[in-house]
Amino acid sequence: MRSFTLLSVVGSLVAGLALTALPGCGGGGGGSESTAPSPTTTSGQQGAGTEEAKGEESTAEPKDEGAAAAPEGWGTIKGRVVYDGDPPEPRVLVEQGAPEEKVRDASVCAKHTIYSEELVVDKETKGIKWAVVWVNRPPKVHPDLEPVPSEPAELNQKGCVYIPHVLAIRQGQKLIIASEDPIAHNTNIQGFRNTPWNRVLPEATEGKQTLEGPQLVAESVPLSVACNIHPWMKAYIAVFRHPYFAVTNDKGEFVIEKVPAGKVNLVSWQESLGRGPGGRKGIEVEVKPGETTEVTITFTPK
Amino acid sequence: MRRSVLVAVIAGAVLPVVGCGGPPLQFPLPDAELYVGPDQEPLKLTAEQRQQIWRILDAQFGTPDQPKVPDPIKEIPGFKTERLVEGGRAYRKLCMHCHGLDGDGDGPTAPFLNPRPRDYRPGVFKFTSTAVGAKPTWDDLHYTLVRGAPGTAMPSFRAYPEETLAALVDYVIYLSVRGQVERLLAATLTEFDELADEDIEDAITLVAGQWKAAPGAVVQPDSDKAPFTMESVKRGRELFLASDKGNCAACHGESGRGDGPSAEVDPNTGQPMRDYWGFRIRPTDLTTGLLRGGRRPIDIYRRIHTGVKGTPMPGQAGNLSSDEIWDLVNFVLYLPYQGAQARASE
Repeated sequence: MRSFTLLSVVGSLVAGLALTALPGCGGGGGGSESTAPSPTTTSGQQGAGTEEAKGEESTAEPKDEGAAAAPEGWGTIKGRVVYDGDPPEPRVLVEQGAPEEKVRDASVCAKHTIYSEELVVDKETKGIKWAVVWVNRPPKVHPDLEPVPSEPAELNQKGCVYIPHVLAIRQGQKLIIASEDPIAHNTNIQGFRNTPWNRVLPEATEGKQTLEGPQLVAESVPLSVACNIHPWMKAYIAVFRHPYFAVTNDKGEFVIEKVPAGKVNLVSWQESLGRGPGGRKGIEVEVKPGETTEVTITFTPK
Repeated sequence: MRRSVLVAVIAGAVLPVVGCGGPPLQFPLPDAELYVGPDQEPLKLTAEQRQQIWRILDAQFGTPDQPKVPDPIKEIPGFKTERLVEGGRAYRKLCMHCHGLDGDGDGPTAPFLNPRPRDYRPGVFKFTSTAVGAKPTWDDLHYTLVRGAPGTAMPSFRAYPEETLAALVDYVIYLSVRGQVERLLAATLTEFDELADEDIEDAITLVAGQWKAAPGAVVQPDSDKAPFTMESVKRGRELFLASDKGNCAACHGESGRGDGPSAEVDPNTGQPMRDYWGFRIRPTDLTTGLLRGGRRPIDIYRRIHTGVKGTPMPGQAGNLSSDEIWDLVNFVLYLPYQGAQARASE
């Protein structure tokens, strides 16, 4: 009996020790326990939407559910991107004739005044230049537009400015980085899905110096391009899986052709204002076969 | 009484086991906001989306102490799945306090460090032997572990047995691959609101392919190293200063102290230099002799050839010839001793 009691005392002691030790032993996992969901619910759900068109290969087939209602044919979206505010005065980035102490490679870069292109608004029409407009997840692609353009897209550098300021390309399209400046530039391309890419471009002693750029994959936000030697230099490259995208001209105009008829969503983006109306889903536009649909996309000041 | 004995014995025998097993160790949910770029809106994930991605990752990659990988990942050269459990154990002991449980570079010590510990999840590593845009090789990560990153909080782990180091390298690759798949899924989910099985497969195949390609992208100089002579150092210096050549001085300054005209906040844009992870960054002061990516001539060669990945430091491949890069290497090696040389010749 005595030994029994002893045993039970020892037992309880051990139990007690174990209990007090419990939080210590589990310490590492304590923090994540509250944030992590139960691992038992791993199955199901992930398979949803397998049929959804997304890649180039799978865009040819329309969605099953909508097939009955979707009209045949192709149409054009023509539109303008406008600014609902006072057009800003262009900001001076590099003053003409600035000294070398202030501007690296002034003999080349300060030859002309360089203005910021972060928000270029036409005074008369209020059209926004360098906005990107695209169709969100087109249900199919016109056969003419299916092949990725064989001619490479070019991002040039002249007078320490990127030309064009915003470039839109297809995934798989060759990208050429070019320079007409007699000084070295670096081209630092950063995105989210893409691996960062940063190389120095040799000086162009005569004509144009070129370098093959990276093979970029599509991103939901344009990639940023910077030259860190000349920190005011900035550009954007938008990459798409499909051909339905456009960059606006200096009056804010754009045209997207051979869009599948039916209701599509039009997304817009501008570097200093972010996503346009409708956010990442965009605004709904009805495309009629063989016709041109006119759209006005209005950005409000931030 | 008999019951009390029984309870006590059972309690004594069973509880410690249960207690130490604790709640199972789990990876945290993906971040609610993912950094995209300095002027970009972050990608925002809803609570439901974070759970969805977490469940997929849990199914594909397991948990910190029961790690596993999808088949394509097993083909990464040098990577051995069977070392992951041991790697995880060592990682949580040696690395986690800085690099975080899931390799997010945000462990409890991280806020006190500058530069910050590497966030493995985007799969971008600064110091590699491979070309621009390529992943590091298994050996590159091993070299970083052995060497440490001088001038930062990252120490050398040379004193640990080789088995531990090898297991740690595998585990870092595991966390990095897992993190990249997480980011790719987050990008797809926020763009299209849904994830198909093929999206998961695509993400895994893409990431595995990038890592598998790394050994083929190792940079090998086209010419032998130029002997260390003052002539070579002088040629290197010319290249360092010339704005139509290396243009190194734009950031690193004419004296190499990291104080060039492009190093500071740009007066026009007000934007300081930032790295891929969104942290402020300064050009290295080359006069200290502390080179984070290693001091061997080949390390410096590759740094100049490829640049420092994820930073404003660009690669000179295609701009400078192999011989020119070797001259620059000699100049960089000479820079810390410039003062001593000048004093000696007085």
